[in-house]
Amino acid sequence: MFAEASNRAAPRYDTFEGVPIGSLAISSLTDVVASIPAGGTVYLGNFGAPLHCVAHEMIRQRLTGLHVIMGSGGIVLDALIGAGSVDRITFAHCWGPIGPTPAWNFRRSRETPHPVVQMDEMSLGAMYSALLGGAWGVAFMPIRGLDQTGYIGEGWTSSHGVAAAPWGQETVVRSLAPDLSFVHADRIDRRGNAKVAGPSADAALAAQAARRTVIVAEEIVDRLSDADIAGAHVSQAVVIRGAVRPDGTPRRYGRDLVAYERYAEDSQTQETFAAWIAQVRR
Amino acid sequence: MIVPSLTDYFLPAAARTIPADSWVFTGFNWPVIAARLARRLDCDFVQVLEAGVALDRDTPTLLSSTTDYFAYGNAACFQGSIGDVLLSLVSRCDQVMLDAANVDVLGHTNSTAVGPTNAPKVRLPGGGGAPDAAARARRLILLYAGRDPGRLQRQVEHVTTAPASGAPIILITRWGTLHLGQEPWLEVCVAERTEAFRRHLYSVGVRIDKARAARAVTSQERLASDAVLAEASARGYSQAANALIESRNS
Repeated sequence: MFAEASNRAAPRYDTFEGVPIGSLAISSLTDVVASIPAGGTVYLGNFGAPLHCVAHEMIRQRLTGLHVIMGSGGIVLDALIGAGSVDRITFAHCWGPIGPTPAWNFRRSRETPHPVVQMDEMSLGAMYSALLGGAWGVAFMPIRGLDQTGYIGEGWTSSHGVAAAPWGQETVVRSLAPDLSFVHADRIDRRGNAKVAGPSADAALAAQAARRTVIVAEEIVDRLSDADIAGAHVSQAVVIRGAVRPDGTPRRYGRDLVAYERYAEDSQTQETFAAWIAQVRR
Repeated sequence: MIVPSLTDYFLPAAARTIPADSWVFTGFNWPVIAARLARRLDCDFVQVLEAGVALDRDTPTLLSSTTDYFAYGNAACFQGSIGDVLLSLVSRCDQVMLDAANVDVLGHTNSTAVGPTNAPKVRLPGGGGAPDAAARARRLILLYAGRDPGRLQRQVEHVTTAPASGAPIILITRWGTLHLGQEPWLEVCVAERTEAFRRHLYSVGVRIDKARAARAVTSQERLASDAVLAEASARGYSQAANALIESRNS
């Protein structure tokens, strides 16, 4: 169940919440976030299941210099930008989904004469293809439909190019292989197999593409028979009920719309956002 | 400028574009609301969303966004990946419906930036899955719910989405319905409060002489539209809240 030997934790034959966990490495969120390599590339998932708890822990630990990959940046990416945690982002869109409202830190970071956050902007389909390339261990993947857009024409990312073969020529996207992927799952079993709630979106690919994957699960169970992510792709697990709050997850808890609206107000100016950060770090 | 309310034409017209027994990809915001209205008007169809899901029945509550997974309830008939939908299924859909806050006569939209992208006056949120969906659409429906005809331009400043060559592109606005492309034309126009809109269309090269009058909104459509707008307002859609006030005043 370990992606690579260097991440292999010593087997612990123990139980967690009454479940024999075999060799599954269960960690605290604090420890896992503390292990993020300086300046590392981190996929922070999932599309539609944003891991607010991980982002908040990154902010508490005052991480800086990260390259964060998120298909739907949302208020998680916005908060990381505002907290100064990221130097670079790879994303498909970034806004507050309720309203919808602008992602104010994201906007401020760009609407300035001297932006400090480098942006690699991809379509969601291109990002999926890039992760697929990472999962397959190839350098790039073909994409289509973007040649007439600014992604290609204006170079909104450094990751697009052209590749030729005897059978034709294709626009391609450079593969993405995160140093670490945080993936939300509904359940994880003692072998590290994980079940994603709702559509798998980009969750399984992010786990396959990363050098190291941490599953943030709502619950641990003895055995799954319908896993979306094989335990062999999983390095560690964190079990947190409510991991994506204030977002929701199927059959467990719904999205907290008021919290989203409150964040939009709290992040509207640098002053109000400073107060929000102080609250997270308290 | 006094403009038609969204229930005078826009929202019912958007819902009417959804064919029965079809598969329709809907992007966020107005497409989700229009799809809700279509279901309330007894249209049976499959709604496809970028996260990798298809919904073949009404959800218990209106989705607050396309990734409101909890709100899907038991409405999903297919659950897969982003790639399943954006790289494959969307090209089999009968129709793709997207929001278009900045659009040009060729059917390009801009959701990236106002001003240069390296130092924008306004940094917009980005395209998400819309560029992939638009490029694969067999029939593209764009929805502009705003009050400024000037958002339809001769050429957008930045191209975030570009439709596939040869695909029909239809833009629905408060004032009427247009066909976009190399020879854009106004197909349907509401009867009143459209003078500024027509003048603007003419200025950006849209033929307006073939326009026919809009079909009247039925009382059932009006009631269902108001109910859906009320639900959308309660689910956090800020433009729906404003539209509800407009509708009640119109």
